[in-house]
Amino acid sequence: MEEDKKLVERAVRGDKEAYEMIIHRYQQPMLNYIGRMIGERESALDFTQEIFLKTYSSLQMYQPKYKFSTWLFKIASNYIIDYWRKKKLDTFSMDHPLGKDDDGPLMQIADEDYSIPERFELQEIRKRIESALEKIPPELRELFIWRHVNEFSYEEIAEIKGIPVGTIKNRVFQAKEKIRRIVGKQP
Amino acid sequence: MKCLTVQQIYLYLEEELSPEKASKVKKHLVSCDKCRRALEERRLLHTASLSLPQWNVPPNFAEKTIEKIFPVEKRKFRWAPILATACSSLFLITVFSAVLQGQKLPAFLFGVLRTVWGFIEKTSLFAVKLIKVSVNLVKVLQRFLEMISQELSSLTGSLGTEIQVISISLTLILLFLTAFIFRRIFITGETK
Repeated sequence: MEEDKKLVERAVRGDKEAYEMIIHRYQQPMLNYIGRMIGERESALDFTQEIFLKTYSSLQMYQPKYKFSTWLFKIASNYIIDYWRKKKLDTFSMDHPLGKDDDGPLMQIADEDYSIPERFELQEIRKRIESALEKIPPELRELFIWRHVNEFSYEEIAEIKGIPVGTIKNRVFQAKEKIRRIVGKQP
Repeated sequence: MKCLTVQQIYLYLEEELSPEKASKVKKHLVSCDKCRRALEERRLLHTASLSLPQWNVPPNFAEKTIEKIFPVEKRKFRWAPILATACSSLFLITVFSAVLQGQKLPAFLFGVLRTVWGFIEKTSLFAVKLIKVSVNLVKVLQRFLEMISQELSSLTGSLGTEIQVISISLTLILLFLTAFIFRRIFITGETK
């Protein structure tokens, strides 16, 4: 499989086929991410397309010292933030505190800290996770999707967001704890 | 070892701990029921998270995106260059064949010029005749319209004023109705 950087080089020279290969490679993880951040299929498809168009027009600015995938998802993340800012919805930033931190990952396990009933089938838990994802803050949702749906490494996520790996890990665990509690509480 | 933190459980699950730390956690888990249950619960969630369904990408998504980036330009069929190329090719072929048949080039070109001039002359005569016929046609049309207007004035002269007003009003209403019925055809050209 041809390396991303070579495909980008070809695409910059106007090679249509090379950019089509890039789209084929990243359309699935991108839609997984955008879809869960936006929630609505048609808009998610439009957004995903817009991001690939925007990326193409910025291709000249891509620096090969970074991974192409992290650069692409950085564009996508900024695009989502811009969209929410324009819509005057709550935008998110990694610098902002996430409110009441009652499920911080550093805390000890409480005695009664079992929330997911054992009788739940995996399929049922998946459904509940999807629903819980809509309820957690978008800045945590984003990290959870990248880590567990798109299976990015913590280093890759840290590169996308431009913050330390340790912070990313804590945020991902925080997201998981929030999801765990919501999944357990759902009727 | 003290009971595990949430972070340690997740790091252990994701195999992000160093071998030494992982071994300590493993030992603790053997002896601590609370941490083992906490781990199992999070393992279940972890497994489910890794197998969440993918959002379905339409099969032609990449192609459609590419079409937006590189719009396909519809090539316009240009007649002028084709016609010019065809004429010049025909002329060159004729010249070459004439030369090959032993004709002298100046004499041949003079012959071609004479033919072209003859064509222009005949076309001009035809155009003049066409104009004359058109002028006569206009004259006939003019006489015909004059005749109709004379007939109409003699007809309206014999009618009373009231009947004239009624007939003009009826004609206007009829015209208005026709325009209303066929407004769509007049405005947009649509027949359906």
